[in-house]
Amino acid sequence: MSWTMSDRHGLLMRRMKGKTAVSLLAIVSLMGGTLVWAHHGMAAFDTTHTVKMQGTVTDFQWINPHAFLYADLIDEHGKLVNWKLELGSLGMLTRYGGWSPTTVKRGDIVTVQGFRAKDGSPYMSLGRIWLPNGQSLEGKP
Amino acid sequence: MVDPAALCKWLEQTVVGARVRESLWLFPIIETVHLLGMAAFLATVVALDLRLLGWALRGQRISVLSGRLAPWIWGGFCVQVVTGGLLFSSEAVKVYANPAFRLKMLLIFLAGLHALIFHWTTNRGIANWDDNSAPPTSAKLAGGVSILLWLGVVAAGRFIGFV
Repeated sequence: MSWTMSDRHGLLMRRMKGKTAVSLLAIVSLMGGTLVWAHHGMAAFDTTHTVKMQGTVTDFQWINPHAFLYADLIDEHGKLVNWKLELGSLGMLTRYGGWSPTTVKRGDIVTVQGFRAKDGSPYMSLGRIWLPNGQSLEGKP
Repeated sequence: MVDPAALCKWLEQTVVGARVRESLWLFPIIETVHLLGMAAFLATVVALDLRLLGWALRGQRISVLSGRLAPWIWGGFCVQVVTGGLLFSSEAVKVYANPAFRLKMLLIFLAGLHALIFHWTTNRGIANWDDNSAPPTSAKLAGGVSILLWLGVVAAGRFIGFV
């Protein structure tokens, strides 16, 4: 069986295109897979139920990529623990949440509601906060 | 010997670290440039690696292709170092302890080392296979390893926020 040069070339081109397409597809799917999640999700938190606690703010960190609030809260067993509360991004908090760097101050008595960490540590995704002035804001607008 | 933890703490407290950490727009803007830098860097590195594998651009002379892509590869890498450094400075203590960040740094180091070794060994004999559509196995292997390492860097970087 003898092939002409153009047959050979055509076959080569087809094989090459196939290989290139497969490798590009593999690369794109690998990269795409990692880009789908916009930011770190709620996987660390138990989203099946919420907890609500009251306490005193010890620190408010207006920082990227998430703002954080620290507060001494009394849990359901009556134990006082310093909790770390995760908020949304500064842009979202400002534009949609009505937050500013001075919304909460150290010493403020607040009520907070959110999803607590699955690992049982005093760490919470803040759903809502009730401020001393009676105002209520979303933690992750 | 400088204590890395102390260095991270100092970096966070610099004006630059504080600005990136506390500003409304700077952080997402730097993140955007970091993504664009990644696109430029990865596209050009992978193009060269695919040529080494003999899977793409087979009509191009490898030395010519690598010369033309070099400014984009190095330019992209510099953008990544600068933007990555700025992002790191904003939360250095936290990120330094992050296992995904450590893996990312290790993979960058390995990818760099791998490129150097290729440059010193296989690439020495490039004159013999510069315009071969299918380069020798050692060159193909270098292209494949490089792609895997850099994709690993991307994946590890993406996981910093999740582990």
